[in-house]
Amino acid sequence: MTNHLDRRMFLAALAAATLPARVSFAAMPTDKRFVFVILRGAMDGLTAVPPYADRAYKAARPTLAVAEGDMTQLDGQFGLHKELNSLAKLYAKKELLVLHAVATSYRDRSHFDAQNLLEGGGSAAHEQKDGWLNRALGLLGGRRQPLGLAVGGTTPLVLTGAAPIASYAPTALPDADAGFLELAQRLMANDPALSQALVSGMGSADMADAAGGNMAMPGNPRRNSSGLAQVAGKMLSAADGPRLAVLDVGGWDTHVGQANRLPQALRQLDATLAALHQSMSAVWNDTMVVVVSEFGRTVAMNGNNGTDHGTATAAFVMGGKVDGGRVLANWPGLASSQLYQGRDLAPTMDLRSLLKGALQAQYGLSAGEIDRLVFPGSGEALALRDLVRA
Amino acid sequence: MSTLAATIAANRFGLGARPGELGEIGGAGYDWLLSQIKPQAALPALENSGARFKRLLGGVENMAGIAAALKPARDLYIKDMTLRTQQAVTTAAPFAERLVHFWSNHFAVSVDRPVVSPFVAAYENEAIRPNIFGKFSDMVLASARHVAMLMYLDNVRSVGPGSRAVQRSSAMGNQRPQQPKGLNENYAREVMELHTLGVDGGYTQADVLSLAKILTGWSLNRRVGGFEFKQGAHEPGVQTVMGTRFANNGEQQGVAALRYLAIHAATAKHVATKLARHFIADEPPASAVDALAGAFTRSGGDLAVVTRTLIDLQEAWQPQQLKYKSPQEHVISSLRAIGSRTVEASTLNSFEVLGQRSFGAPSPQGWPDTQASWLSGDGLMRRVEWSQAFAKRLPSTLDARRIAADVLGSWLGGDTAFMLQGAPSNTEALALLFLAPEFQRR
Repeated sequence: MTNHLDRRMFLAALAAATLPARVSFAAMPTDKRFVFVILRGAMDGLTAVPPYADRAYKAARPTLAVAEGDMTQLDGQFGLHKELNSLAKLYAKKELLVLHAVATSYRDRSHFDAQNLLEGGGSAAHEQKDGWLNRALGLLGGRRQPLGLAVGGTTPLVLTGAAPIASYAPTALPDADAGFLELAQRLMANDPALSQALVSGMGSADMADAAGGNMAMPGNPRRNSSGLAQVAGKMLSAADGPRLAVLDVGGWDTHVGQANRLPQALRQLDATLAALHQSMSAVWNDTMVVVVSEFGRTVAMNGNNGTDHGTATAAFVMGGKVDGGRVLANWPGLASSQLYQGRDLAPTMDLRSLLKGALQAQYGLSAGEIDRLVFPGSGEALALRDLVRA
Repeated sequence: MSTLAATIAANRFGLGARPGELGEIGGAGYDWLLSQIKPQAALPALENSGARFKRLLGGVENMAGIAAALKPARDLYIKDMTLRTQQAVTTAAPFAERLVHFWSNHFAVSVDRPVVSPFVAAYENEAIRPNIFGKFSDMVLASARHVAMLMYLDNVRSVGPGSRAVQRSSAMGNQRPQQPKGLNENYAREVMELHTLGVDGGYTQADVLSLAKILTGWSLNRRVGGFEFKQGAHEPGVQTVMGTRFANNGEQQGVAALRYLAIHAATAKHVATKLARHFIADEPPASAVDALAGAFTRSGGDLAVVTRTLIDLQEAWQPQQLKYKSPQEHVISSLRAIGSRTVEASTLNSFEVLGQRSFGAPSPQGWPDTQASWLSGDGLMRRVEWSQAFAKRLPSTLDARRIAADVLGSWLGGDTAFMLQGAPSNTEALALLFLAPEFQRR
């Protein structure tokens, strides 16, 4: 039985051994960064990327169609809503790829089920209990610090699974004093699960502090997506930081008063993506950002000056090496006979094709691995090629 | 000097010992639990769901109207959750209270859907609490008929494709053969997957469809603010679920189907597994699951019998603390440990910051029940920060060492006692108590 003094020194020494290294240059499995941005609530692709050259567009949306002065024309067929200003600049630099008439294989209209399918990556909602991005992380191999990063609170399904991930969330709680943290470490020293978690948590907190995330986020942290994007971008840029992150941007469920509400949501999205780009500028050539929504909205307006849940919508891919400056869309048309179930933009591309193509392009994962392990049952969705320039 | 049995009874089965509780229990931990297994009455302080529905939503006709009608929802939520949390912190029957939380999480509804928010506390109070020691099938039926569940999982909107309501309206648009217009499968799927049989319970998509048809018409009377069976929305015809035929006799078709599912062998196993996971270990021992499932089946799903079987299990009394406390469990046990009698708004905020907002689970699965779900780097940092912030607000008269001995009993380890003894300030000692491994587990 050690005496009083020895025990104190022993605990202190143990704590010192488990303190996180502030700087570590351990080899990373990859330098490629990937950010998956989920627009929860069903973004109206027909407003974000108006198909202005389709003659049926204005006829189908007499009140809601985006006016010519409110968009940047992209390629003679499609435009970009004027609120997506920094995206327009990226498009001009050929670093933004726009996709349209995209949807998952989900054909119902529940946000909850559709997001579950989007994130689970199965062939039906609730089929997969973990997320496709977590399964992809499993294929990338690991190191001591996790490669995946969840920001903003709960871990989304897409990042849930066997592969460990780091998490960061701005908090309304004041930081614990450094001295107290040391005591807490000693207290938990003999509990392996607790002390490992504490080390990991302190490591993420250090990384976030270094990335400027130690300031309290104004307003509701969940709504301050640009602030979160900034912190996430900096963490991803770190030499020994995570490599794949997920961000949420909301405000899309425009059942009521779409003409007022949707531009606000687009503005916030643009600011978020601009913050992400800016914070990752040093590694932008190694970065790919994919922006999707679980489904789109009805073509026709409803009785509340809004739109209801639809099917196909737009998506975006951006990054320094992305083969951008074009719109990828097999456009089905907006005449009523061309609509899905007579009400929605019909889907002509499976979102999984985009996601599979992204994983192949960024991480060199083989088609076989992806179809077997990441997106099981997705054989009919061929991976998109040529997402990045050589 | 309290016994290990008292420590286990109060901290594992209960919600965490209050000051003096271990002494009161003395050597009679088992009896203390047994005495709590008796019919539970709804808490009178919580507003009745029907009355509140009429008050808030009685006159509402459309989507825009709902948004305006729900403006008071936030304040009502705070009021309800304060009462609910206070009950948990002060109750002298914490084993029963823990079971209320367990079952209301099993039949989870969530404020993720804003229209449900004013009714979640009433749901727990009316559909769950009175049934925790009754028949499981009664709890299933009460949940199925409650306004909160009807709205949360959309059954209120589910209309049979062959029903009179659909026949009457003019045909518009294309019918999808896989899911006929008007039918909503959400509740039917979740009642099988989550509430009764379990995801491996052997049901098929065809069963989900059949059950969904059976449950069409299980809806709301908006004037009364309560359940009403609407014959006009009900899908006519015999339906087959899990190989069993259910005659078309209106509401009774659904009652029969739900009762059938409620006592199915797969349900017994599913419920037994969740109970064993909650009280024994994240990977529950097969012996415990079998015993609980057996008691469930033999008694026709009598939860008083099942609960008595639970406290009879040797595995449930093992001395080692195998369960990691969720954020709510941790905060509630901390408040109990210091003898708190009231709950402040900051406590409710804490739940949210710590990642477990009351009735805020992101899906009908409810909150998870394993260490892997709750213990993360970020989660533990929040718990550390919360513990220090909470300790800073406590009176300096609270002696962490005395409290530790009082509430943890024989679980208090030498290393922790040593650290509390040597803490630089009383505030830090209290914060350390809340972070001790033996306090974070049960």
